[in-house]
Amino acid sequence: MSFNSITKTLLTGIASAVILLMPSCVTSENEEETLSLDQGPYLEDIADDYIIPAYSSFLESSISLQKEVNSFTEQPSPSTYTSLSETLMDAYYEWEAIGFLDFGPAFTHTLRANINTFPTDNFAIEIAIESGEIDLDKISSYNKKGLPAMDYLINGAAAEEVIGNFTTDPFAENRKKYLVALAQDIVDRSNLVSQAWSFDGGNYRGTFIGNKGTAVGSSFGLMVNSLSQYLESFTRDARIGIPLGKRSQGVPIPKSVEGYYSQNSIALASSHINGLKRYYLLGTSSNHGMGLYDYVKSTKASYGEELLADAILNQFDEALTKVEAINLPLERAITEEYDLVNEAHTALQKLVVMTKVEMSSALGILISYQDNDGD
Amino acid sequence: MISTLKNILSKPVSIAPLITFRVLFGFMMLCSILRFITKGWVYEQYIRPEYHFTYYGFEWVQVLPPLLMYAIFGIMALAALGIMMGWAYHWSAALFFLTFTYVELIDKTYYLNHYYFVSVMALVLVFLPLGRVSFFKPKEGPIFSHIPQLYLLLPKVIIGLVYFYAGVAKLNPEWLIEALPLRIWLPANSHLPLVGPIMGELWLAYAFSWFGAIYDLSIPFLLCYRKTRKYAFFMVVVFHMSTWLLFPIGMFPFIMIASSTLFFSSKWHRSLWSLFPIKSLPTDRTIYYSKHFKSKALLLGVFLLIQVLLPWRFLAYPGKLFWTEQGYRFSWRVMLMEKAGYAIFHITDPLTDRSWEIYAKDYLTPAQEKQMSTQPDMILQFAHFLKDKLREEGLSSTEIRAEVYVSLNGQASKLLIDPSLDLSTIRDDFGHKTWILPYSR
Repeated sequence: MSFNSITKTLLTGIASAVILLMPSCVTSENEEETLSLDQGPYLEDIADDYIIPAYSSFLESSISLQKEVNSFTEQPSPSTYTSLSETLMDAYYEWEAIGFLDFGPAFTHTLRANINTFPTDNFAIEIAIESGEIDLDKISSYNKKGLPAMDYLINGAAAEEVIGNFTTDPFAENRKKYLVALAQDIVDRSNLVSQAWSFDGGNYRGTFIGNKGTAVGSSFGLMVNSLSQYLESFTRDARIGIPLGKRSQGVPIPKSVEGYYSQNSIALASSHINGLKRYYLLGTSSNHGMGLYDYVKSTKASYGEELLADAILNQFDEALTKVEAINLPLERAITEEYDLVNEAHTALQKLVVMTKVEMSSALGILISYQDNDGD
Repeated sequence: MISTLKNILSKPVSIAPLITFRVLFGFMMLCSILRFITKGWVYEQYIRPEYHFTYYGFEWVQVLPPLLMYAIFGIMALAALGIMMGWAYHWSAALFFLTFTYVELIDKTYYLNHYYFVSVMALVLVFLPLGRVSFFKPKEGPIFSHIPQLYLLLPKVIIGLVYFYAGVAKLNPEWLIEALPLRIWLPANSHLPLVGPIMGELWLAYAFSWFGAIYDLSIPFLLCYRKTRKYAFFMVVVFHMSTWLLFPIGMFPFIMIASSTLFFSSKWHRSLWSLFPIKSLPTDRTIYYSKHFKSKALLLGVFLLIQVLLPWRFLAYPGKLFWTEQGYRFSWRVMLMEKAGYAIFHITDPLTDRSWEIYAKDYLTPAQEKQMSTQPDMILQFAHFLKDKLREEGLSSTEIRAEVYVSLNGQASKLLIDPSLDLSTIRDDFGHKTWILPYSR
């Protein structure tokens, strides 16, 4: 065979391959969106039916919370206190529905660590109040700020004593400043993330919807990876496993529960899992948009006798049932109702396995944060 | 018989195809290494991890301090350049083989068939007499245009083996009858314009599976015959470019396309080199002669025999190969299965009767965790690593059990290993791992 003829073949080969497949690398504008496997409609619904409204709700709650903080600090009284305490819990419940969206703008602005690092360092907070040096912008201040720090300042003692701390205490003025700064910080950060998603702001919605595929860094890759990582480190470990002593040689750590001062861990965990389930399903089982559930369903992946999509949904319910079955406040339940808490842990463990193994396998998503050679 | 073989092996053939191979191989390796460094993988894969999964029998291969690791990659890049340009050829080839293989042996997390292929080829290159041809400046001493056919046949046979064994590995019910795992992987490309809409079609997964198997099994032969070579090379380009566009497959497609030029006629290669200012490719016929030819032939023959036999060692183990992975590596099983897993390590201290859990994320990088969670030998290694860690913390009586869920080809996950066994008391060896639970669908 002559040099020329092989060269011709080589060029023809490359040209054919390029013609056949190269257009795939260029994004086309008028792509069909009717196909069940096209991610476009799923991504739009997830953004419009869940993520964007959930961020706005939390922003609203944090603005209400700031108002209550202002009323309370201007005039600390039993009535402004009660109102503030209730608004704080409302905001906390709203937070539970967005905290796990740990990707995109929320990841860039480290929203989770800024708003909900628990356990909070109550001693460091007291030292900061006494010295009057309030700096919430350092990485080392994650455990002195956000909702857990507010929980400590507002629910850290009986109502009367707390009101006293904000009126008659020698450091009352500093304490007010600290509380006001906390509220301001929460509003600022949730506003940043909410803005980043909006069309007039960063329009991350546009980026999110356009970023198709399942590779590292694609929207589905980001969602599934952040979800499974969050379930592992924050749903299973931080909320149940760590208090139960699963990560500390079997020795329980009551003070590490979420919402320690309001004794509301179970209600918080329950609204967190409910949020996860709504994010997965988008709405109620009879009326919902096209979410992760539907995308998993479109792959027709099975889980034993049932569909994987349904099996995961059922596991969210199972986890919810097991968590809500815990009667006592979690800091007591970990020793007095060990078996119930352990069952909740097992249910969450199964949820971790299902997202990390079955779900990512069915979607062909690389559970990895690093690009790599494959073969 | 022996004399026929001797005649075949020592028959003089043109050195030109091997010079093309040498230059392309060196160039591709240089690109791969620079790509590896610029992507930050030296840090990510070798400096950042706290623990490395060494190969059985190669536990003594340890990672070096960060600066030296970068130095190793620097030397590797220079050696690749040396291979390409023909500078101190044999030294360059040997240095490249040693540095590359050293890096690969540090951690089996990053095992890839194409890395293994590079190691094998680099070792072969060390023994090939390709050092007399260099760019720009003719070398002093004897130069030659022809070499014994052995040196051309060996790399061709190895490339043939890679394809053929990759094809044999595809002859299994999952691949052929169920189109697994391609029916899981292809829909992930549905976002691609033009070809995207058909990626979810089941017939396409079957077409790709069957075409892939037939391609792998036949391509070495089609490349050998003069009449089919042109079409075969066309298929090589189409096949590897498709895999490059559809899967995260790195430099492998280009290495294979470049390697298949070895099958072209020497006339083609000579025409190619006549286009370049290469000074020392002689036009008159001079034949390379070595008085060690016989012993070299014997050595390379033994090496080839090992290459032929090694992929069959899985037959010595009971159970499903994809599940146990006993004899899976170094056998050209390329992109054969979708496997994912999650491992929970249960620690019990009989002294205090307390129990707790350890997860891979506490100590491993995501890439390491992903590989460890599905491969029994790595799970055992990690259990022993944990045992040492706990001993350092003063907990020397702990028992370590693993609850590992693995999903194979999209099936619901099952337990991979017996969760009742204390892994810290089990030693790894070449025997059958009885602590792996049997596969069930």
